[in-house]
Amino acid sequence: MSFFRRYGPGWWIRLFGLALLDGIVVALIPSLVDRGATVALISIVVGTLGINYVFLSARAMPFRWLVPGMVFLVLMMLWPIIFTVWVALTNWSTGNFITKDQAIDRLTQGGAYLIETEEAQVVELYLYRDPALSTPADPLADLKVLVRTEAGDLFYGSPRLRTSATPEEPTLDCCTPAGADEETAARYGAVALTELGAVDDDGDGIPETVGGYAKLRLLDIGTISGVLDQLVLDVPGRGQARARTFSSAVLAEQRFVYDEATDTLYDRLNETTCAAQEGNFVCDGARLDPGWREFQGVENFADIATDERIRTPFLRIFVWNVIFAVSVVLLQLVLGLGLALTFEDRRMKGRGFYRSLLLIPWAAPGFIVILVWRGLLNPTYGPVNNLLEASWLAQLSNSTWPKWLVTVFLVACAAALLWMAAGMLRRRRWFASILGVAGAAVIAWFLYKILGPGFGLREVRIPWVQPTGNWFWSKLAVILVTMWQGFPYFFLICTGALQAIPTDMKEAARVDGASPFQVFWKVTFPLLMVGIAPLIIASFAFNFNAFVNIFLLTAGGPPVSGYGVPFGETDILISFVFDLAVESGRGGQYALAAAATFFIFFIVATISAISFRFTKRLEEIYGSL
Amino acid sequence: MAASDLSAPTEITRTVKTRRRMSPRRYFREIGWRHVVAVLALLFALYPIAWILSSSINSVNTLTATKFIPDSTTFGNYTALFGGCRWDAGFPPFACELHTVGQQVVPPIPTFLWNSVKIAIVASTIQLALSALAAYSFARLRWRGRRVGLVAILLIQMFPQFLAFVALFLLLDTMQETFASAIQVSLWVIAVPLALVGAAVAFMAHRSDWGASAKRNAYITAGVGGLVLAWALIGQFVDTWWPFLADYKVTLFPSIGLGSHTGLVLVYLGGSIGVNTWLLKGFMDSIPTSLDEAAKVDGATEWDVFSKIILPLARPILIVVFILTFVGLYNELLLATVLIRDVQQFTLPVGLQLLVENDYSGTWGMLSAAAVIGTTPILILYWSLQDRIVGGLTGAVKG
Repeated sequence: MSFFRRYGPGWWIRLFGLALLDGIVVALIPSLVDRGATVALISIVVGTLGINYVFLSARAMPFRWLVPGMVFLVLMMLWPIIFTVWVALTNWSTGNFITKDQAIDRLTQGGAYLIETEEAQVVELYLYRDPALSTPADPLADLKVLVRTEAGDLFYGSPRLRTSATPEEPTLDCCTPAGADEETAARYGAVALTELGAVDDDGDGIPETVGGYAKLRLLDIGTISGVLDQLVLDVPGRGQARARTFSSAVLAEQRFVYDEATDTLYDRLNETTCAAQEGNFVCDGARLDPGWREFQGVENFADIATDERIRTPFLRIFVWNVIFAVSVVLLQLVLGLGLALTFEDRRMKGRGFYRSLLLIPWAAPGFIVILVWRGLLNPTYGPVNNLLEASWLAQLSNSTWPKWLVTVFLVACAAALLWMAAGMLRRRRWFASILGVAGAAVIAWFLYKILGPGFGLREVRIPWVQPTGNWFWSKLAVILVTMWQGFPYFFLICTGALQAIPTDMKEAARVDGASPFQVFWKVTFPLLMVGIAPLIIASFAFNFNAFVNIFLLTAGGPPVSGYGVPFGETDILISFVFDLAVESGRGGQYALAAAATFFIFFIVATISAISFRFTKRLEEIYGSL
Repeated sequence: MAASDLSAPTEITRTVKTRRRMSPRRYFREIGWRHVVAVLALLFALYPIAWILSSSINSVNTLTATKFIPDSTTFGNYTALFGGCRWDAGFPPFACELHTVGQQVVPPIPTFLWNSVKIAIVASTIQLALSALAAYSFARLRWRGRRVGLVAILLIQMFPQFLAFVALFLLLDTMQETFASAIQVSLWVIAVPLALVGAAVAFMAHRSDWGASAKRNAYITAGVGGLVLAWALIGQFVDTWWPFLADYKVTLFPSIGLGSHTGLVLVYLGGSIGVNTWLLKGFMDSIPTSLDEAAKVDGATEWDVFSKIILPLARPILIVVFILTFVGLYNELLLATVLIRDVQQFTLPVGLQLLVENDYSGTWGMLSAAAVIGTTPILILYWSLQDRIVGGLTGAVKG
C-alpha cells in the first residue's frame, strides 16, 4: 500500500487521463489495421507511447505542460501542412478518392458494371416492406425483394444499391435454387419461404406477407422510386437480379474480372483487357470510374507550369492577387495614417468618441458586413448606386444644360487642377501634385463618359457585383470594401506609433527651419515606418488570403470561361483553391487544389522571410526605438 | 468609454485655453478641420452600419424598395428570424427549423448563432488553457530545446490554418470512418470492470491512512480509468466472444469526423495555439521570477506557482487572448463551410448566406436584423476591451 501512498491526486488525475487516451487508441487500432493506414497507425502508437512516457517519467516533467497543446498544434496545423504537400503529389479527386482495392471491389463486385447473361432473362420482381416503418430515412433500410425466375425458383432477401461502395455478402434469406451446388445449398439451407412466415392468400405462388413484411402495391412505391432502378439482389449461381421496373428484374453478371497477376481487368462484354494507368483502368482509351488515388509525383505542379489551360488562369489569378493585396494595404495605410495625423492634435475634443465609432468596420464580423456590402453594392437595386445616381455629378451629366457648357466647365476644372499640380511639383510637394493629377484624370474620365460614344453617363448603375458585375467594377468593389474593413486597424497602429515618436526630434527639426511638411516626410514618416513596417507586411500577408471578402462579395465572379479550370475575374488564389476543391463543377480536384495551396504556402513563407529581414534592416538604418 | 482619458486635455493645454480664446478662423485652421475630416470618416465608416440599423426596422423587406428613412417601422424582421423556433426540453432549450414568412424561406438563424457561439466558446476556452500550460513551460521551466521549440512554433504559425483545408477535410473524412467503426461498446462490458476496479481501489484506499480528499480522488480516477481501458480492450472482441452482448452496444463517443461540431472544435483547437502561446509567454516573462521563487521556498509546487501566482497575474492578457480567439473563431468561414454539412449544424457565417438569394428580394430586412443581432455582441466585446486591444496593438509598434 505504501506504493500508492506516495502519489497525490495529481498522480491519479494523470493516470486517469492516460487511461482514457490509451483506451481510445487501443480501440482505434483494429479499425486502423483494417483500413491499412500504416503511417497513421505507427505515428499514433508512437505518439501515444511518447505521451505516456512524458506523463509517467519524472525527468520529462516540463513536457507535461507542453504536450497537450502541442498535440493539437501538430495534428491540426503541422500535419495538414505536410499532408497538403503529399496530396499535391497524388491524383486525389472525386473520381479518384478511394484506394485501389476498394476501386477493384466496386468494379468487379459492385452493381455499376453488369452485363446480361447469355440467357438474359426478365424475371418477376416483388417488393416487401414492414408497414410499421412507413417512411424510413434510408429507403433501403427495411426493404425486401422477392424474385421469381421463369423456372419458378423464388429468391427472397435484402437488396442493395448498384452504386453502393462496399459489396456485401449476398443477403438472401431464402431459398435454395433448384440444381444449386452443395456449397450454396449449405449456405442457405433448405429454408422454405413459409418458414419465414410467408402467407399466400390468393394462391398465385407469391406471398402477400412474409414475416412482418407486406407486399408493396404500386401506390406504396413513392419512397423508393428514386432508387428503384438501382436495386440489386445477389442470386447465388445466377449473377445478380437487377430491378428494371417496379415488377420486373433482369438477371445480370459482372462485366469485369480482375486478374491479380497482370494487374488488369478483363472486359467480358467487349472481350478486351483493361490496363491500370494513372489511377484508372483504361479500356480501349476510355477510363473506367471509379478510379483510385495513387502517387503521381510532380505531375500537378507540372500541369500548373506547362498546361496552357491551367497556367494562364493561375498566372492571372496570382497577378490580381498581388495587385489586390498591395492596393488594399496601401489604401488602408494612406487612409489610416491620414486619420491618425488628423487626430494627433491633443487639443481636439471628442477623439475617444470618434475612435470608438471608427473602430466599427474593423471590429464588426467580416462575414456580416461583407454580405451587407454585397446588398448595398447591388447593381440594380443597391443604395450605393441610388446614391450615385442622385449625386450632383450624375445630375450634371443628365441635366438639361447644354453639353458644351458642361464640357467647358469640366475642362476648366481639370486645367485648374493640373496647373495647381504643376505648381506643387515645382515646390517638390510630390504627394499634392499626384493628387492633382489624379483629380484631373477623374474629370477627364467623367468627360469621356459624357461625350464618348452613346453620349450621356451610361454607367450610373455601376455594375459592382454579380449578377451584372463586370471585371473592372467588381475588382474595384472588392478593393474598396476590403479597404473599408481594414483602415481602422491602420488608424489604430499609426496612432500608437505616432505617440511613440519622441516629440523632441520633431521640435529639433522645426527649430532647424523645416516646414511641417518636411518634418513629416523627413522625420515622422521614416520613424513611423520602423514601427509599423512589420505590421504592414503582416497585413499584406493577411489580405493576400482575404477569402471571406472575395467569397462573400463576388464569389470570384464575374466568371471567365474557356480555360481548363473554373475561375472568375476577382478570384484570388485561396478562393480559386476553394472552388477547385469544393465547388468545381467537376467535383473536388483535391490534388490540384493542394498543389495550388503549396504555392500559397511558398508565397506566405516568402513574405514572412522578407518581413524578418526588412525589420532588421530598418532598425539598422534608423535604430531601434 | 475608456478611451476618454486620451482625449482629456492635459494640464498644459488647459492652462493655455483659460488664458486666451482662439479666433474662429484660427480655431478652424488648427482644430476645426479635424472635426470635418472626422465626420467625413465617420460617414464612410458607418454607412453600411446605418443602413442595416435602418433596414432592420423597416417594414419594407426588399432591397428594391427600401429607403434609408423608413416610411413605417416594425420589429417584424426580428420576430421573423425567431419564427421557426419553439421552446424545447434539452440543451439548448430551444429548437429552430426552416420556416416560411410569406413566400420567403427563412433559415434557423438563432440555431446558427447558438452553434457559432457554442463552438467559439468551447474551442477558445480549451485553447486558452492549453496555451497557458505551454506558455508556462516556455517561460518558467528550463529544458533543452526550448528556443528551438519557440522558433518552430513561430514558423508553423506563419501559415494560416485554413490554407490547409483540403488536408483537414480529408483528415476528418478519414477520422469519421475510423471512429465510427471503432468506438462501439457494450454496456455490460463497462459495468463489470467498473465494479471490479472500483472495489479494488476502494479496498486499497480504505486500508491506507490518506486524507479524505485523496481517498475520494483515488476512488474516482482509478475506477473510471480502469473502466475505460477495459472497455476499449474488451469492447473490440465483444462480437466474437460474447455475441449475446451485441444487442447492448452503444456508441459512447460523439461523431468526431466530417460534419460534426466536435470535429470542427478539434480542428479549431490547433488553429492559433502557437500565437497564443507566444503572447502568453511574453506576458509571463514580464512577471518577476522572485515571486515564484519565494513561493517555492515556502513549499509550493510548480502547479501551485502556475495556478496561484502566474494565472491571477496574467488575467488581463488571458482575457484579451480569449476574446481575440473567440472573435476569430466566430468569424471563421472557410473551414466551417468545408467541414460542416447539415443545415442544423451550420455556424452563423455559413448559415447567414442562406438569407442572400435572389438579389435580397424579401430578405434584406431579415438579413439586416440578423446582422444587427450578430454584430452587437462582438462590438460590445471590442468596446469594453478597447483600451486593452488598442494597447496590445500599439504595444506591438512601440516595441
